[in-house]
Amino acid sequence: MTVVVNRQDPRFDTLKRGHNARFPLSNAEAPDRILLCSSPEEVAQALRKVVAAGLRPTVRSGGHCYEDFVSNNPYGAMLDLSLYNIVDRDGENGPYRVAPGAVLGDVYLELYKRFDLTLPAGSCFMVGAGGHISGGGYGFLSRLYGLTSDWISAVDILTVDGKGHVIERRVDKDHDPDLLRACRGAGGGNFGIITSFRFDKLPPAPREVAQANLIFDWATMTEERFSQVLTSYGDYWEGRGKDRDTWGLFTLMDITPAKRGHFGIYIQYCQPDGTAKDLSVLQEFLNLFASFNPMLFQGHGGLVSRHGPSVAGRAVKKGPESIEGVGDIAVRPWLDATIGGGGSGSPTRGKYKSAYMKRSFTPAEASTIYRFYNSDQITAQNSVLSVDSYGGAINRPELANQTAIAQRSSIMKLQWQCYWREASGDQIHLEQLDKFYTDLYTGSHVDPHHQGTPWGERYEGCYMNYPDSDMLRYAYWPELYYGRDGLYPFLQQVKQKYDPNNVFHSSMSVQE
Amino acid sequence: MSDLTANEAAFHPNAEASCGRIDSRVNRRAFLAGMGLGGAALALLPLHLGSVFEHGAEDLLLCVGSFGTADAGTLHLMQIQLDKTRVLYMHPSERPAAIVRHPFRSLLYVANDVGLYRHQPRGTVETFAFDQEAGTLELVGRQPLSLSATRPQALAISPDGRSLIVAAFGGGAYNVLTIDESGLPSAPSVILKQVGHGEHPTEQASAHPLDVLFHSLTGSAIAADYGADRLDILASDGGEVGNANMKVAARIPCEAGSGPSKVAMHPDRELFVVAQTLRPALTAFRLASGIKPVQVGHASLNAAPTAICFSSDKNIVFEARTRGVGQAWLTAWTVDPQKANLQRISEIALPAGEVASIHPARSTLWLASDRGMIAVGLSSDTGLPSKAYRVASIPNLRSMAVV
Repeated sequence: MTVVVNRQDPRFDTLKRGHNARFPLSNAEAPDRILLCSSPEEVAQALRKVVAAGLRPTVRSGGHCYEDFVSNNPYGAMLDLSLYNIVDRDGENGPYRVAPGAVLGDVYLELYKRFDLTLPAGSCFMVGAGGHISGGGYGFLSRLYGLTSDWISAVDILTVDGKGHVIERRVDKDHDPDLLRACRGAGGGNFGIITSFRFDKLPPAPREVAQANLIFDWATMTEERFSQVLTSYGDYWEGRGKDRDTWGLFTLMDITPAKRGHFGIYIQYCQPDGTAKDLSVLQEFLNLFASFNPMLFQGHGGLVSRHGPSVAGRAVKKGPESIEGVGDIAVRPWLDATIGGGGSGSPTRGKYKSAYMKRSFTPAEASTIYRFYNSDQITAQNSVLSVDSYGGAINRPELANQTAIAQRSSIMKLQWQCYWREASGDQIHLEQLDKFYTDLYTGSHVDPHHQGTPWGERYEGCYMNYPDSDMLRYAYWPELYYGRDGLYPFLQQVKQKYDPNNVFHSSMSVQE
Repeated sequence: MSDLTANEAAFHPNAEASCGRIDSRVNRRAFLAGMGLGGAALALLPLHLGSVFEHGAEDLLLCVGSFGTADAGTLHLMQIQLDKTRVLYMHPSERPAAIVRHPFRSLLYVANDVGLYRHQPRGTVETFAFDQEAGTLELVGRQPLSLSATRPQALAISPDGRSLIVAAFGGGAYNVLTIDESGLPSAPSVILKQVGHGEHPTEQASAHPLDVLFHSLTGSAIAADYGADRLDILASDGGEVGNANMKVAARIPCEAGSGPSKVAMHPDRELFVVAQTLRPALTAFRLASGIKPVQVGHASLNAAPTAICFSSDKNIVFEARTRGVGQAWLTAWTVDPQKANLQRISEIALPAGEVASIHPARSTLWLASDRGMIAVGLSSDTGLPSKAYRVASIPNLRSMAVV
């Protein structure tokens, strides 16, 4: 039975917000009611009532939306699907099913324990499958296996037709294939409410992975030396990292403020067969950085929070002086490495940005990043720039026409994260982070018509699962998120066909 | 002063001084140039309103909104006197699609026909304070509508002056905005997202509320949804006008594919008339009992009505439409509730291509048109239109309110 939490309910103040404590912007901006649904039938019934009442529905799975798309819904209704969280299989030989309310940690556990399979999804245990998969979620196994949305073979989705009727659809390659493609990466909150993701097949879970951390001492980093670290990293992904034998290698470079003393690279590796017996690819990667004398220590032990300030404050453990020996690389069961971590921490105020990179770093980019993280700016002290490896199995060009993810040429994906606690910090952090980002993409390395944004020969735009409403100021923002090869017009057609009244909308939803 | 044309100077001797107060940061010449208006565009033609304007009568003030396809838009505060019309003041306004006056405050509310506000898909409502003595307008606020409530085309103020209802054509929604003690509308307190569609594949792919009027006796509002072929009756549970419980209390289906676009309320508040655009027609309704209207008349037309209004003291509906190539006509109709039909009783040609808004005042109809402001005198005996005069040749007039 649907649980209705209205403004008088003692749970309302807790449940009205997601993980980003900036939203709702005020109590008046919060939805008037939260409807906690435990089944597709309850979701359908709740949606019927919401539409009939003329309310705007927003949909929450895990509550990790970076922008205000869900929690800001004045006078409206939030449908919370977190209680609908099954992960199973349709019959003995049918497709695997993941409900939108399942969190990634449970998805990993269930798929592994029941089927010895996995989903190449993200690194935060508490992120909900609904938003993550809808937007083309990715993670440590994505270079090996592709994006989560690449594996979708069908979805169960509720749409609202022109007359306002709620339509229950099973969408696959033979039924509404246009909607299926749109559901493979365009992002949540656009076309309807997905009540089940279906996968005809899923990749095998690796048996084991190798983990390591490279820690660089800011004290040894001149601007030139820092630039060399970045270009060594980027050059690898632009070159050697495209070779198939490296696809099991995934890295996160977290650039943190110089005042914290260090920045680092987290590395996870397994061979294509799901073992970590031959670590030569990993060793080759580590050796790239030998001249910078980084510290090496064993892996961090589980899912990495990408949604809380703990990322910026990762503890540094003194490692060996040399990175030659593999004794400092931990080889662990994949499940332990994946689940050993935890949640997202407590909700905190945050701002996020993103960029896809097709090429390695330029000296100008390295210089801008170096100066920012060596500045006294308060935002620099509260933020981290994550540079994730990308490509591999993601970059199969044919997938661009089968899914709603246009970016199939990038070798790195960047995520800006800034965290603070008090509302009084909103303005300065939003402004300073925006300036840092804009500065990074201003100059001769960026297409002259797209200054301030990651677009052009070297870049491939932004990631819809890291939405950034600052980008709305650019009239071409849909190109940044959906590319230039016809995907966005296609999505607009799908929108007009399946949600003609724009019942599902946000400031960055597909515009009719 | 030198940049005024002779005609403009004759009708607007203080133009330089008053218009200089449009915005202290905006030079008048630059402002007009920015709007694409030369002095000639403002030239006011001679008036002959003696037949409809009594000597000694107080001046009539009209606020009219203009915008073209490219320019952002302007509000013009116009003074109508016996022998002349003057533009007292101009103020930039974002595509003013509709204007209403507060029932007792010196405030005007303007629906801005915009799809984006601060990069978000929202329409807006501007609030202007006017000074009747000084003849000035001042922008005092701009309130964004709810997310996706874009391109508002109409707004109505409750008789108690405490609520605004905005019909957002683009986003298919009604927003109810509470007006605070200072007269400023607050963020929408009620957001009613509409769904529905009509027969026309492109024009009616989704709900498009296009007009809304308050009905002071019932506390409800009547709205025309062009996209969904229906009338929406908006009312609150407790009968209070425009309060936070406002909802769509009833829906009245219109002829399929008709595209209801305009609503005109009879002054005695028992009759109202709806203009249909896609299947051109007028349909009259009686508010017999409760909140559900009953159709009492219907007349098919040869072209789509672009504006309608009731006369202020006669049982006459005036309707403007464009026929042929850019020729607007004004037709007078009577509603016969007994015979359940509308009778055409008079028609005159207008010096305009398209009329956007009609308001009756001082035994005259005032028509905002693509070629300027038009005055149509009404016979004191029959209430029927006589001759039409263009009294100001400001192009692209879209909206109007009597101040």
